[in-house]
Amino acid sequence: MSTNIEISHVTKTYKNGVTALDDVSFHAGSGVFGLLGHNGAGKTTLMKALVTVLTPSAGTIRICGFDTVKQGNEVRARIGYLPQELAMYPSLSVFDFVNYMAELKGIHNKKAVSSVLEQVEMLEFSRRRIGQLSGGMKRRVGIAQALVGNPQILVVDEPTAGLDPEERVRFRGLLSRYAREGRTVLLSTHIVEDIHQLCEELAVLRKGHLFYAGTSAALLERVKDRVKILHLENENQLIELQKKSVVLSTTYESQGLTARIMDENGLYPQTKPVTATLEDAYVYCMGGKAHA
Amino acid sequence: MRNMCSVLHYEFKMQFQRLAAWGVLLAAAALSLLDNFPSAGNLARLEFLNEPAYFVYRIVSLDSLVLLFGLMFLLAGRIPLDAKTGMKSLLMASPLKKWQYVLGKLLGGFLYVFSMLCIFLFLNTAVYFIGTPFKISLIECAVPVVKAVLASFIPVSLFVSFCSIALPGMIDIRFFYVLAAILFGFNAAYVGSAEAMPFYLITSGDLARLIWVHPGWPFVDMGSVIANGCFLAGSGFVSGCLLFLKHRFWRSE
Amino acid sequence: MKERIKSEVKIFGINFFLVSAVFTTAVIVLSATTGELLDFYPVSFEVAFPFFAAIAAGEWGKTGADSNFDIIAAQSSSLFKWVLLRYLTAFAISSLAAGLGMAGASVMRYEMPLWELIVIYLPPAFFLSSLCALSGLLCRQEHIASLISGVIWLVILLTRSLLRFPGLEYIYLFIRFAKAPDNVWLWNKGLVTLAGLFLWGVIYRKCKRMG
Repeated sequence: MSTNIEISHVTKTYKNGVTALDDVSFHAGSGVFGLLGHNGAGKTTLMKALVTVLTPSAGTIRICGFDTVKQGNEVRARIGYLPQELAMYPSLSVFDFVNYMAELKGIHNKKAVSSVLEQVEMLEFSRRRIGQLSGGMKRRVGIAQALVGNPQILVVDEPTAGLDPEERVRFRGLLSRYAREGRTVLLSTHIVEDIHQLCEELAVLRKGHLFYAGTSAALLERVKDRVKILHLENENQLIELQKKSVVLSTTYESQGLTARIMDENGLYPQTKPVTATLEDAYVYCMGGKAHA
Repeated sequence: MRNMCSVLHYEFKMQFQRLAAWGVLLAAAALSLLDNFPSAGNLARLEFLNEPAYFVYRIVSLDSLVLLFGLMFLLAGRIPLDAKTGMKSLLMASPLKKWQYVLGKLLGGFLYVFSMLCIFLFLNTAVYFIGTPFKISLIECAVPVVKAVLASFIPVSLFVSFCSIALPGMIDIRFFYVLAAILFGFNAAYVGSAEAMPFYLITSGDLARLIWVHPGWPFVDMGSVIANGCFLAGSGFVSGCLLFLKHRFWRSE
Repeated sequence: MKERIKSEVKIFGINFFLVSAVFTTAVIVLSATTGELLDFYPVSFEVAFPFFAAIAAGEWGKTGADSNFDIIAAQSSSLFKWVLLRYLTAFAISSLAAGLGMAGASVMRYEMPLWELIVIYLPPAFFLSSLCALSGLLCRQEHIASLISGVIWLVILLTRSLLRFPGLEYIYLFIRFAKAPDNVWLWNKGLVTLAGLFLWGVIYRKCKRMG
């Protein structure tokens, strides 16, 4: 498998002294590669560095073998980018906006624009102004502008945030189809379900550090047979439990509550383990608990 | 070059579709016709209104100021808006270079201001030509219009568009509004005289005297004309250069 | 109340104070350097500073264009109170700058008593900034409120010649700048203030409907 993205010892320290990335290294081949992490973990900074918008303070990033700092033009010719927050130009029509971005990428072909709009099912709305679109439609236009020109690498930052389930499924299908034929989609998200459905490999960032990089199967292996469900009668029991084990999630019920825990030390041998999910593994990685 | 043309083309297109600008243009046109329409009252009030050149001179030096002020407000947000909406990150991730982005924005704004000024002048002159109670030839109207477009509108458009687009990319847009309001307000409040006009006036500087001169003082101070032209074009050019030279405005190239 | 004002000041940010300070200093410096040809006091305090107050109300004290407007409109106990308090904070700060400008300019060149300067400043500033507050509530797009007040401000400046029509001297916004007869200007200021209050009546009704 060829390596499309190669990140080596990347550090980014801002002028105010905040270190957003600290010695991050991993690589990604073809397929959908997930990037997980809390808010402020450094995902967006890493993505901006990948697409040449930010220059790392140290380390190198190579995209298809090209250095993002020294060979920016070659890199930019090979990437499509969808930033997390993109309001676009509300006065332009869908077609005009995607055509504008296509022209800036050096693609002066209206058929290519129509083709990507068709891919994202927006061709019938191509004359509509962006200001008149729903949130989901705007995200589809956003992805269309990233797809135009069939870039080798697609970098998408939180593409499904705020979308309804139907739109999310549509997006997943689109990204997984695109990742075929040796292309790489780097997907940053909070939604573990998206990563679970799409990515074979992922990286987890925590406070600017790389916490994990590898396959999702290997990450799941770390928590296999250790996730258990305990029924608790009250909050006091939960507080006691938190002192001894990592609580992954809790669900409040009419009588008491249920806690999903990581039984690392085999404190509850009488309780049968349940199938671990990627979300369990992620919450465990983050060392926290999620209340439901 | 092609990328720069794309930015220019879409910048112009987006601006041209803004309803607020057309509202300002119509308001300015209504105001100018109230003041300058060749009605009996206005002809009695304005001694030279029967001369098309004088009419054009008034439109350029007084009434176009309202339109320019409105356009200045609308153009000022162009670069801060790109940063706010996330478009700047997207554009920086594309193969677009800094000079292509800056020049595309500036020239798009320039063409837009220039076009709006021309539409404004043509509209007013057409109404004057049709509504005038005395006979005038088309050429009598066309000559001052061409003079206005070449001598005044080019430097004025350069000044307004370049300063309005470039300066808010470097300073707080509200501070820019204050500075612009002072200059425009001074231009509006300044009373004309037979002497050379201050070079820093936008529309009523001595460049406007190339369109029409008072028969009582038929001399044009060419030094003052050049100073006015240099101020307008030079300020615009310097603002554009400052934005281009601004460190950390674009990704490193 | 005090806390709310503090929050509004924090929302405005430091740039408001910096721009106000630069503008006030520039006016004081001009008062010392400008010649006799320029009618300095009316130009500065009847024309320039009121428009600054309008920019302050429309830009820093923005309401409809505030990205949190929907949340505030949906959840605040009174939308009008919020609009009013934000406006008053912006107007008070810009008027404080105007007051400092008047004091500084009076030290440099005394031409008018301070009370007279305040009277020539307040009504046009109140009217223009109220107009900006109303436009800001009606237009959700940023800067449009300042654009509307700005164009009206400039048109009024350009149409001094309209004062030839009888009666207009009672409502012309920059009456001292236009050098109208002495016995009229106080009436004019009173009527302009009433017009500003009328705008606040419209704002109140609009807020009631929105809230």
